Amino acid sequence: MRIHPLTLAVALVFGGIDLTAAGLNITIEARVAGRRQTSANGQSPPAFTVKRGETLTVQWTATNPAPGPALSEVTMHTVLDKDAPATQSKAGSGALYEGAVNLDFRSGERSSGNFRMPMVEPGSYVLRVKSVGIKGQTGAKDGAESFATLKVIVQ
Amino acid sequence: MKLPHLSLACALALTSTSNAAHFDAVLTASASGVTRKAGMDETPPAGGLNKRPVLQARAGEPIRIEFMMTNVYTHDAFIDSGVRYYIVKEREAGQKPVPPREGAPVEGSFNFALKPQAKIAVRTRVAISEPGIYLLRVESFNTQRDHEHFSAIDIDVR
Repeated sequence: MRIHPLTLAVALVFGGIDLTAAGLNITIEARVAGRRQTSANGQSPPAFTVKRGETLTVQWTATNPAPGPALSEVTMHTVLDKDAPATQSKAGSGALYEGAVNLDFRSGERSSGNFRMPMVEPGSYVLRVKSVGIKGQTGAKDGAESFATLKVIVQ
Repeated sequence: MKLPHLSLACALALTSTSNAAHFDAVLTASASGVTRKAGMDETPPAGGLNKRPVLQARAGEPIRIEFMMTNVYTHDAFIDSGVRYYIVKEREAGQKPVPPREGAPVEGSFNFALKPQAKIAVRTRVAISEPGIYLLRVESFNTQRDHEHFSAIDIDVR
């Protein structure tokens, strides 16, 4: 069975992203058979090359490392988008996947997500996991959003 | 539920919840301009109580999938619980046994402490090239109750 992911066209209304801070620790791991690549917030997005038709598995984690009050009503937003700048926060017309979950993060608490899909369209993709809703909360380490990105190149 | 002009994050904040117990769920699948929608069901019994809608699609045709699940149980958080979705081939439309999801080429999940009023949403598009009957299912797990909730649609690919 072959299931081809296609373009996801959704309009997003996020504001700009904060490049300077990390309220959550976010990690990303991308895998295909026998190979893997990781990324984390605060890191330049590494590139991960996969062959057309390979099934990509993505796992992300988000942890609140700061002591103090819980971060409430945080949305973890995940996008796998085609031909998008690494810092773009909106899902474009080339997005293959978009997921969101809203959570509270107590100190030390961790949440995670994953998805798997065959990559059948050659091209350059950006995988991005971002928090939304932390900015301004006193429980955040520095009161700002976090994000981690990884480039996926399908040949 | 169609939320074409909102981000998923904004949609999570804006949608209202009902007062029913545990979970509310809406799953839609669309192809060739036709949309099938499924609401919440529960298991046990295996395969749930409701008849699943069937979406017809041509092999290779884009299928748009959206779901949103809301935890409407207002009393406690469920530690180490989650929501997952998958597409897996099945023997016939409407069958009650749920095929093993191991090896499903499309799947995803979220693992977290599920708080009251939490919402989980995904949008994606897939195309299935091999004709057959497929089960599209989104379900809760580890909610520390005597049952779990799910929403499901059969996809008949010709």
